[in-house]
Amino acid sequence: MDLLSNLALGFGQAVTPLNLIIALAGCFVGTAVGVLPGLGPTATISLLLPISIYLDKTSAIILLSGIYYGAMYGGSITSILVKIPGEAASVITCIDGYQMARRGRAGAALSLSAFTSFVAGILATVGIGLVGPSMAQYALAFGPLEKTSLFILGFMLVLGIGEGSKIRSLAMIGLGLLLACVGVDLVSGDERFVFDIPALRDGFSIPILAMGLFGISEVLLMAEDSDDIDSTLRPPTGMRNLLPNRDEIRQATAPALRGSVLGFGLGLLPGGGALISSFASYMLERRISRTPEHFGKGAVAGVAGPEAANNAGAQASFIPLLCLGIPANATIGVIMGALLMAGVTPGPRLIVEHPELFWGVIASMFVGNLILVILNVPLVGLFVWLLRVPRAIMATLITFFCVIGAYSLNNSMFDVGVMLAFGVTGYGLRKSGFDVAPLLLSFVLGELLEESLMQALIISHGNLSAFVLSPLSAVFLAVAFSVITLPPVLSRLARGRLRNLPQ
Amino acid sequence: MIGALLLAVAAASAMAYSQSHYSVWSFGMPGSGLMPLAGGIIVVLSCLAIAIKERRKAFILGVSRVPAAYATGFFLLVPVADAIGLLPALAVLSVILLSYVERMPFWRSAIVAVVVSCGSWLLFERLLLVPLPQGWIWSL
Repeated sequence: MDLLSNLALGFGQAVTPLNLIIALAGCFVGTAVGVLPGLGPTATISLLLPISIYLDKTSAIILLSGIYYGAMYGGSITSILVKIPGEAASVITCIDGYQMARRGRAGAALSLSAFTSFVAGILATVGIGLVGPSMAQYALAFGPLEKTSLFILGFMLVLGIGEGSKIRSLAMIGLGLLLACVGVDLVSGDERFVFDIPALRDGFSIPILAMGLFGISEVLLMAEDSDDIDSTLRPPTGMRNLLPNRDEIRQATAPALRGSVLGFGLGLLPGGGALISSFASYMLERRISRTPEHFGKGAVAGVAGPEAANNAGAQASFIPLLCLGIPANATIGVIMGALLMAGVTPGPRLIVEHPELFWGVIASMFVGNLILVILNVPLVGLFVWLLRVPRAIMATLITFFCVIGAYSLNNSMFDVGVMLAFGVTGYGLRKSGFDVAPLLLSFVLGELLEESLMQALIISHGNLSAFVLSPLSAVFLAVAFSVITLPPVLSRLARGRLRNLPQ
Repeated sequence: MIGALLLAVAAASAMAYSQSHYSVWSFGMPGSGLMPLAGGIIVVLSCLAIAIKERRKAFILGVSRVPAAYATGFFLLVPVADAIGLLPALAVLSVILLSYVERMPFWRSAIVAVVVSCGSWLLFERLLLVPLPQGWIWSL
């Protein structure tokens, strides 16, 4: 009953004409930002911070959170259509979403992405309303030790994601770790691999790597395969082909539900929970699938699960912010800044002191998810129409957007050069049989892992046993160990059983 | 296999550089050389394993004409953009690649380049207020 009255209070705040317009504007800007490479949600929300001062605090956070989850969906559009992830969490969607587009199912992939994000968003919002505030207390027990173990689990999951052999994925993970080392080391202050170039002090940024490794290398691959008909994207024809068919909906339902639960649980963890949730979902779906060989070749579950997990994780990451005052990622950190500017201090007292704000945001998530579906499903046809653009012109468009997107990050031509260099390197790696998805994910996790590992080792005075003495950390390490050891053991057992069967 | 070997050499060089410049462990806590060492070891060992596994495969080192032309264009883009500005440089690159490499009629390539440049100018420079580089040649 409490929940219903609280939600009524929230909807009273969220469903005013002004807040509905603000939520629509936020979702629209967020989707546009997600589609454009380079200008990510963090930069956009930072740019819009001055505008939020003129709004009421609930309206301000509705605008900024609309941009946040709009960008999450927008990033998936480019992942599916042109294999450029708008966000680190969308890297996974590139794998099977792009393959679906190549098979002429781009519309179905985009619609599935929108619908599963909507379902996940609604489930996560219900979850936040029901258990979020109480579960957030457990997040207080989440220190550097636990974060380090979670990131190690993330690495183990990444190892299983790459196409091709595990050993090649491992090489890419190592390369991602090396690239993550470039820049000033936060603990010692050493400048690593900077070579007196000031622009390298901050290290490489994720969008630069993503645009180079995926966007520019794809342009080069497209250029190479100019005579190969299969390499060009086939746009679907007819309204029926723009929407998922009954079989695809059936294949997507269970992964979307599992992804929502997984994304919600991991999204509550401060640090990298929401990011890890998308590839944890992908790994889970591949492991339990009866046809794991379809993954990487356009499996519906490979799009539905991670997309649901990504969206549920993004929404659940508001809980550590609102209930504990801990921003789960950089974008949430900027939203926290907006709250502080409005005179609201996020933390355990927020629900008591500003219930209208807390429940208004929860209710706006319902509204925002509905707006995203209403906004984006009719636009699927328009997005898919882009695939009719001839390959050479598409390559030109991708180059333009990647180059200007890279420049707009820091207004630096150095970034453009680095992005193009990564593009050529990514092309070389892909031609040599390496998959660049584990590289990018390892790069993202590498930075987080190093920071938390250093903190953990300093706190524990270099005592490694601290990682197994913390119960939560021990659980993550045990899961990481089983992720890497169980599949070969189980497949060996299964092969042994098959051999023992009578002919 | 050649890709794996090149990667192993690059990682080994980065590892050697990091070991000569940064400490792995100092003052009882991990130093800034720990992560480069870990990353380098992973790359070198896995690439060597790939090379051993694929040692019987033929050594093929070659790049097709079209991607090589694109890569050369990308390489020249930054210095040309510094001179004439980013959007004109991208437009010139597009015309060259579309008409000479992709064999598209020149007028069609020029129209594509102009339309995409103008669209990008409107979107980024006017709407998103990104100050795109103008190039030193225009200030002469």
